[in-house]
Amino acid sequence: MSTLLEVEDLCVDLAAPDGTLRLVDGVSFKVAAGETVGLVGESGCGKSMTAFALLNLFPTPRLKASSGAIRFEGRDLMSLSPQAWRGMRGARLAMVFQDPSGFLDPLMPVGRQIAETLISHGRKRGVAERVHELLALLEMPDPAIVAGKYPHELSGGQRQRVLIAAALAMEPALLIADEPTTALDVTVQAGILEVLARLRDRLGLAMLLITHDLGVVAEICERVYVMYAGRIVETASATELFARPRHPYTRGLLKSTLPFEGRGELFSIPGRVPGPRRAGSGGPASCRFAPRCPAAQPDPCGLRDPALVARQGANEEGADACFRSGEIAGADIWAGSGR
Amino acid sequence: MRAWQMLGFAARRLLIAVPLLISVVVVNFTLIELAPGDPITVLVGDYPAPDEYVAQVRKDYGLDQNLPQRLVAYLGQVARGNLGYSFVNRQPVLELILERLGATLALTLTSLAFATLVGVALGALAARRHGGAFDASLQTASLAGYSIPEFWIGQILIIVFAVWLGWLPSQGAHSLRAPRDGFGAALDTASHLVLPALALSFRYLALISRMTRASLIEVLNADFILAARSRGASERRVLFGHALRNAAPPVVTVIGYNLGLVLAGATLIESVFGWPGIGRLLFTSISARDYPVMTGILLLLSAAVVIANLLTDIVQAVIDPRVRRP
Amino acid sequence: MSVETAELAREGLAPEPSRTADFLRRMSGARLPALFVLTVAVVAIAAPMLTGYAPDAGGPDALLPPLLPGHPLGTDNIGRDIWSELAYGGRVSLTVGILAALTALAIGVVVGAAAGYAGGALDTVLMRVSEFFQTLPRFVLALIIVALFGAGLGKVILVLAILSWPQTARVVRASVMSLKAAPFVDAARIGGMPGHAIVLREILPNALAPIVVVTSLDVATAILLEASLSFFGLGDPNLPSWGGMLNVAQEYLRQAWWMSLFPGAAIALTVLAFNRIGDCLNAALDPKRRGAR
Repeated sequence: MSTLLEVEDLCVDLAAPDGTLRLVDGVSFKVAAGETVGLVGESGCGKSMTAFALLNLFPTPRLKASSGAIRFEGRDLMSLSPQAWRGMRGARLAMVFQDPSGFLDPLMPVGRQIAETLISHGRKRGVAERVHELLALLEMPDPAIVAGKYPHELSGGQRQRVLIAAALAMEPALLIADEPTTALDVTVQAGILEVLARLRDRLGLAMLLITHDLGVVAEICERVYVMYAGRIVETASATELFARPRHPYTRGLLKSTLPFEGRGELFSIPGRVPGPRRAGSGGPASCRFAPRCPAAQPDPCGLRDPALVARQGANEEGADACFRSGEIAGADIWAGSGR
Repeated sequence: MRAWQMLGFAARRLLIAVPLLISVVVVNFTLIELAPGDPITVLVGDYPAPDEYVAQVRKDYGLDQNLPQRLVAYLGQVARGNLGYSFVNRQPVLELILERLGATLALTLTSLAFATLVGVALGALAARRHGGAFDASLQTASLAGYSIPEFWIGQILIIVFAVWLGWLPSQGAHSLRAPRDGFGAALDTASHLVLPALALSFRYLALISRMTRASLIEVLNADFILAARSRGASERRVLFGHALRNAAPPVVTVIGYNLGLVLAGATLIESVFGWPGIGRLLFTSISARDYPVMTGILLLLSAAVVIANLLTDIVQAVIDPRVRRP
Repeated sequence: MSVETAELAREGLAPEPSRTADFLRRMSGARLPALFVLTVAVVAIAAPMLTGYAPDAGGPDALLPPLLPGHPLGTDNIGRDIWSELAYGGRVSLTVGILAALTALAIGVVVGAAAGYAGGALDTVLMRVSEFFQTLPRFVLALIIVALFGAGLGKVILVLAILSWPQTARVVRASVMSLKAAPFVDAARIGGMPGHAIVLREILPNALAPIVVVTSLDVATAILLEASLSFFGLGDPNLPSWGGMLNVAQEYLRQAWWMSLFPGAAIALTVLAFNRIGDCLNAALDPKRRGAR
């Protein structure tokens, strides 16, 4: 499979009143054509910021991608002009967002919002038909009627399908989905994921799925990157990640989402995600997860920041950023801790 | 836009307007009842009216009956279009007011149009350049525009443009030496309209530009704007297709619900410029203690505000389909 | 904004400095207007000491332009000293403005708190009434009431207060309603505190912020309305007032521009000052708008 998207050492900074904060700290990942990749992490780990960087579309001018490279379909995205960016967005790569009710214009019928993608990229004829076609693709009943409705007349799941339809209108090669099911009811979530999976299969769509929900990842992703405090701490194929997680954080995450055994309390990783560090401060002098890590040791965890290291061995395609991941592989490091 | 949905909404709003209009008349009635002295004076005016007329008024308004009956009688008179008779001007009050209505409407609507166009444009510009120098100066300017008494602005405009520069006339609606018909007359009236309309528009302009700016800033930060941009929409499309429409409701509210402010201002401006409208009539009738004219004007202006609010609500429903449900 | 607040809220932005220091810093925009208001008040109170003439004393030198010895701001058509009139006129404006706003505050707080706390039918009735009051054209109503009932400072204050209370009532009601659900209110209620005491001692002190803001803006509006009434000749005829000065100036715009400029500027600046103070208070006391300015 050819590489569709390649991100190298991406950094996203936030200009705060008293200095610049680095929200995404040297993140690198790849998405191949037609592949579904998951980017997992808790709130505040920087995954949404990474997504925004891929479209160069931040919610506030205080955010920007300060360094790193993004290569998409062979092109260097960081050097694009605003005009070129507009040509890319919606056409070659598209994004679907978290809470559909906020992301649809309440005063415009949904059909027109889907059509907007087409019209913005110069398509003039057959727009209405294409809109109906897309709604049908998203398995909406009566596309012609739905197209004339306003967002508040649709259910949450239907609104999300509209957003997806708008994103796919120009048949982009990559769809970035930022928490596409988080704001939806559990029952509706499954439906949306199924639709996404079917679309992927039908259109050969590559997807970058950004989520904190490991269940979603298990359902639909082929490969996974785990993010913590602005960095990637582990990556593996989905099966490998769930079967044999290496990084203590990944292991803790999995443990906290496993089915409840009916005894004792729900497990959650103790402590809090650290805040972003200042840009240009030269990098942390220790592993960022160490304060919360049951397997941390003063040397080397407290002395150096681990880099992402590929695993050696046959069948091993993953990598993790932990000095001790090999050592602790068999031990149940989270036993007895939690809360 | 479903037509019948709109009609239903309009009908519902109309229904609400009716009791409001009645309340307005009741307020008028209360004022007449509460005023010091004999209600007859208020209904007839401070004028030595002929006895037969006074007796007729007593009968029409049921002044010899009890309170509820007097109220009903008053409502009946108003419903029949009888707002009393002005002895000072020797005309029925309703007729007198309607004669002057045109002039006031010309003044008010011109001011409104100017204030809306300029106000929205300035507000939108400030919103796009949020945080910049233009934005800050507009904020200060609109606060000033809202604080300065419009009749003083009128006076200053007269001093500068009529007295010192001599560019524009300062009083009345036509000059004595101007042509009475045709294009020349229209031009003459227009030149007389400029200064009063300008003076009247300041406060409104300030309010509108402020609200446009605030509303647009908020809308431009909205998620659906981000979503539109993610689809490759140009800035122009974002602004005109999404932002302005979503920013409109609070601005429409400001424009529509502040008509009382404009009418009040018109009263003052007409006095400063001698503009022959209802405001000027109010001023002269206060000096002459012509009470039926005063109460008649209050009634009509209040009714106008109620109707303006109704129209504003309907416009809101046209813009925002979510409002159409009761 | 869902994305920004969720992500940025966790970015550990700078910790908040002490609240008082922060408040004073945010109120820095109000320093100049507050100083101005203070100056007007001082001048008004100390007018006899700061001016050389009685404000209503005509004299032989009529229509003198400003900057001449003895009459720094000129004289009017009967020879009254403009500066004296201006200084004394401040008394009417400030008194009426502040008293009208405070009266509106009193009425508004009672009505708004009752409506907000009791809810139900009382709330609906009171809100309909206040909505209705807000629809009527304020100035025209004030004009006619004063014309019917007679001018005089007390009456003017009352009329202005009656026309302004709905705004305060709405603000108070909104605050009371949102605070009603707070835990400390529940605690007081469980502890047996009667309703009106809860409102008085627990809720209102915490609702002070918006009340102060709306009152400040009310003062500005009241001063403007009073000036408009005086301009129409319906102010107190025995007291010098800025609006009244503009009334007299109307006929002399051609000859004596100073008769209009100074009183009008005084009104404008004073009203602007109160509006600015109200605005600054609003920005300073509203936690959500910290960055928006």
